[in-house]
Amino acid sequence: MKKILLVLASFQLLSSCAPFVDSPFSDQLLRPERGLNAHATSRIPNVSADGVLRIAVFSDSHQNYKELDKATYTINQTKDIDFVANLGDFTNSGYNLEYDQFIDAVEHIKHPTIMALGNHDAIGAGLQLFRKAFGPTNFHFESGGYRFIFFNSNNLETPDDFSPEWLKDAVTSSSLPVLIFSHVQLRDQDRFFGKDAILLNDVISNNKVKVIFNGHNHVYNLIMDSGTVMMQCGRVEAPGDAHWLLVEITGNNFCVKRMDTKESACETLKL
Amino acid sequence: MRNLKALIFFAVLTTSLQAPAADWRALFERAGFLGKYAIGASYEWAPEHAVSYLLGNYQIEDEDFYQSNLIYRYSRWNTDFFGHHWRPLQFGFFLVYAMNNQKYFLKSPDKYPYADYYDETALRYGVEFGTTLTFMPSRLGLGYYIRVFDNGVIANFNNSKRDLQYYISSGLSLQYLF
Repeated sequence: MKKILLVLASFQLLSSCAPFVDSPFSDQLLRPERGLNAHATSRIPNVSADGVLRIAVFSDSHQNYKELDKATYTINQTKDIDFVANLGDFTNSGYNLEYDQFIDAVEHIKHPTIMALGNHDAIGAGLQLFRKAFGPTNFHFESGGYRFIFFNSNNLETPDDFSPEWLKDAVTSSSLPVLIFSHVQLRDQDRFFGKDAILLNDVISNNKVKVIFNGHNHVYNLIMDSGTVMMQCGRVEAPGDAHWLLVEITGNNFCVKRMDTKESACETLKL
Repeated sequence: MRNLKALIFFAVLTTSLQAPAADWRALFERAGFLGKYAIGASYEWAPEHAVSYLLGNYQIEDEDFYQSNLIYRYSRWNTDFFGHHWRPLQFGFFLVYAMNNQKYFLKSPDKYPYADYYDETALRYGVEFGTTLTFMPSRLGLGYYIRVFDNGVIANFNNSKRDLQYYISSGLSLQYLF
């Protein structure tokens, strides 16, 4: 009996080497954090306290953790950021292991960090994993005279959770200028047709909407559309330094600085 | 890559079917990427070589789904341990296949803008290391395995100084040797 107990104890010792992960396909997370987006928004101070709204934006890190580490390091070195917005695609296949790895990679960001759902994060059990770790995919909050809307634009991956009607209501019900954060560009012609495209056009052309941020296409792009700044963030992995954006809004002035090339461009916002 | 995985899958399966009869084991396994629980059988056509098939379950929002698991295991050493059979270090490859085609796929579904919009997500693979002790004369066995998931190895390869902690799983196996 002693020998058997010895063997069992050895198994117990060995089993402490690695966690018991049931399946890569399940919605089981090893990381214990829950409701991360709500926690982050609760930490956001009055974003206009110093007269400047500063947002760090990054997107499409997928499994490029080395570049992500560079981006989070430089974000941490940057002072007076009001919050950090991640525009999604922080996994390749939406596996629970990738969610765990990403949460581990961004947990040391000092500033409040809010996540949008990317299309790659939404396949498999991704939607359930996102809700478990970060919370709802469509939500908004207000601070410093702005309404910030995070919108799930992944209509093909999460058709039941995709609601342009909700987005339009969130915009029209606001008495404040609106900034929208979405993974997919709201003019994406591969995804949005008919009624959806009409609703999203109503959102883009609504004069309360000042800036719409998106990722997904992996390249930096800044345009004006119906009086709205359409700010597309490239992927984190870039030839130079890691790609992320530092956006500063002062009064009517919108200024964005690319942190991979250190080039900056400014567009005027008509608030 | 998808074709390569399928080729490996069928090569292992075909090899096992052509082998002469030898030992069988019934398996009940916990975790190790094979499912919350998995049951199946192992066929050992030589003391060193075994192939196992297990059906595992996993949950999404408390709903049960199933996955197929295929393992080839090589046991270089087979030794006596106080009258019991011990395989102190085993090495193997495993394949896991999600049988829920609504969420996981081998080919990117047509609803996406173009072919191969996504890489396949239903079939993954990895390597395992383990040890198995079979108690005699009861023929009950206990196995412990550490499995490494391919997705993590790729990520580790692409990212220096990144450890594998989220891509490794323990699996505990209860066995009966027929």
